[in-house]
Amino acid sequence: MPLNDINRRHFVRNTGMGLLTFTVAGIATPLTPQAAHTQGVPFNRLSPEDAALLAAFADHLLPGAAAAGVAHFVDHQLGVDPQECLLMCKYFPAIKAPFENFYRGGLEALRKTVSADHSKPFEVLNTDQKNAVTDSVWQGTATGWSGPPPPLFYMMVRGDAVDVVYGTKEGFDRLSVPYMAHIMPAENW
Amino acid sequence: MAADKVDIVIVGSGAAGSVFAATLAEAGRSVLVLEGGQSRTLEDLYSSQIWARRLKWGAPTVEETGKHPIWYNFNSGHGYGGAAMHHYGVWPRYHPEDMQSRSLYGRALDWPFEYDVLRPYYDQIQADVGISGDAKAEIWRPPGAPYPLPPILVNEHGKTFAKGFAAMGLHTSPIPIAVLSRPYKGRPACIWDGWCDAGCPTGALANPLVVYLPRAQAAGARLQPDSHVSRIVMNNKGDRAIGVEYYDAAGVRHIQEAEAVVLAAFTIENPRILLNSSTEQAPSGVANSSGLVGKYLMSHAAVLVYGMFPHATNNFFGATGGQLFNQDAFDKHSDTGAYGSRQWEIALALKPNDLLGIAMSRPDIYGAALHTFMHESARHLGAMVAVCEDQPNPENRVELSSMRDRYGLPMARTVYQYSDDAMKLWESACTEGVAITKAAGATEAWHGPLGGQHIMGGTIMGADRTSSVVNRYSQTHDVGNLFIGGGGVFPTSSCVNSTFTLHATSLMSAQYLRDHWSEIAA
Repeated sequence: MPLNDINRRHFVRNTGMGLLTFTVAGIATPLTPQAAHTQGVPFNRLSPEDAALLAAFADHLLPGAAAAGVAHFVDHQLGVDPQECLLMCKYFPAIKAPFENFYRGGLEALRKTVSADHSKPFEVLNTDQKNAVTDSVWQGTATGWSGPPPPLFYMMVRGDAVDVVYGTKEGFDRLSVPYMAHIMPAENW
Repeated sequence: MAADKVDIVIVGSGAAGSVFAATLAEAGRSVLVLEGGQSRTLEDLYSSQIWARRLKWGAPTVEETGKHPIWYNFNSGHGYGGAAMHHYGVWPRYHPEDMQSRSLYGRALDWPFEYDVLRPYYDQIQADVGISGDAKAEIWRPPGAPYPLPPILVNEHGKTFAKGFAAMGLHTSPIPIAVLSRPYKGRPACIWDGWCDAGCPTGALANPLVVYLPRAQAAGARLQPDSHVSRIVMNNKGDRAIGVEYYDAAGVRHIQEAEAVVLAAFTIENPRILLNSSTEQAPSGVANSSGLVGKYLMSHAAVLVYGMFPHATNNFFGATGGQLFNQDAFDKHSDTGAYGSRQWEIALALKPNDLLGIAMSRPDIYGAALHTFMHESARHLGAMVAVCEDQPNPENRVELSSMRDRYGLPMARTVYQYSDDAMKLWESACTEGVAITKAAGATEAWHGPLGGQHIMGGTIMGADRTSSVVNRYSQTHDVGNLFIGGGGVFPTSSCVNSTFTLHATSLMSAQYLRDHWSEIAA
């Protein structure tokens, strides 16, 4: 196609937004991560416990991230070839593929630090307790942390939360920012 | 398995490789470009910061060590077009003093030529590509042809920062940028949507898919994706390259024969391939009689400065690379105690997410406060970036790692630490940037952490074969039919974005190869 035929109108497409293929009852089913979250679709890479903790932590970092399907987003991307992976963690020199190791290590370290400080899961802590844990992770002072650098883990999960809440056309709309796509991706991720 | 011999095999389809391919194919040479990543068309360039991550590396190929990371995955590119697919198109020129640092100041290194030698290549490239700017207003600019296009849009975002610079007694000019302010050579003007680093599918931002690769293909050059080059294949005497070895997507090994080889696989991969190509005659790697392959790795120390303004900045509008420009601190001694240059790129278009997005400007904020911050910032945030020169140091280097890639080949390992000079420049930029932003009327002003932009060196050029890897034409001293393309040949980093200059050095090199073909191919 000649370049002078390429214009914004050509590229903007009204394709189905945000559909990923999840396996529901053994059948490949196109769902949004939000719908996968709502329907409790099983995870492929993360354990149910890790997925629940990831969703809870991300939701504390940015409320709405769990409902937007952050755990399914991360779980799906961890199953993708690292080269095609759409997680922000791929930029970081300290995080090497397979990225699953980074998330599993960080979630395990988070679980242990919460257990050491509060003797109960992160998900049931009150807001002040969650804030205390979060601050300690961000500041690198989390009790007994053994895993990837805690501030790095905080930033990556926070980045994932921002991706699903604000990194899409719907997210831009929430901010009243024009998306102005040349080519609208057929899927949010 | 051996394919048909070609005149020139080019390793890498990015900024440098595409210039070589177009120049040599248009001269009638048979050209094959081997790209380690996937094929790509303009329609693959989705407007999404999330999808844009496909343009960058993800598989581990580089082990980064030393005090400071080189940020390989973020700075490099994967697939057709290479790193230039996600670059921002800020295209200033090196200054004459950048190329004569040793002669003028007794510091760093000299290039094997002065600025005037490269000037016509800069002029030719900007005529090919179409740069927007205002040469007169850019008071620091070295001599050269005026920009072919008028400056790009300056909106409230840029105007706000301009007031801050003026209040500090500093000058601003339109940014020199390879983004079209008017239609140019069949490519449309930009609509200022800020999707620059997601890849620009309209062609308003110059990238290899819209400028040099189409020219190369029209002249008969072939592009081959998923072809991971592992080493240079040498003749028995070890004095000529006879082709390259590569692995395809299925992991099958191939030999591609050629009369000449151009390595344009990015600053880190080029030395890796040379070092991985050791032979009996060259046990420390091909083209490495100087022992300097991989040495003098350089990057730019960068800092993002942010301000929250009481009025709307419309920061979602514009070019990611910025609207305005400042090189008042270009003089090598302008910051007390620090040798080197720095510059400002002002009023960067912002998106909510990703590494350089709104949310990451304040990583400490979370919870409900992050929603509040996002909404306020989407309207009122302003951003600019300082880029600071680093000094060439042979201790900063690319070497082979003990880790192996998917083909069983040693990965590259980088060892890097910014010089004290670079860190002083960076610190002065942090202080100055916050002061400018406050002077511009920001209610809050802050700066981000140390970041790394652009990667250069590792196969530097020079007049002397004992102190450099390639000559003025980016031809290796040791192997006459082996050339290097890209910022790896720069002996100094300046503080300017490297893409324009690596286009110019590549064009100079490609034209030399074209014009001396009979003796080089003999």
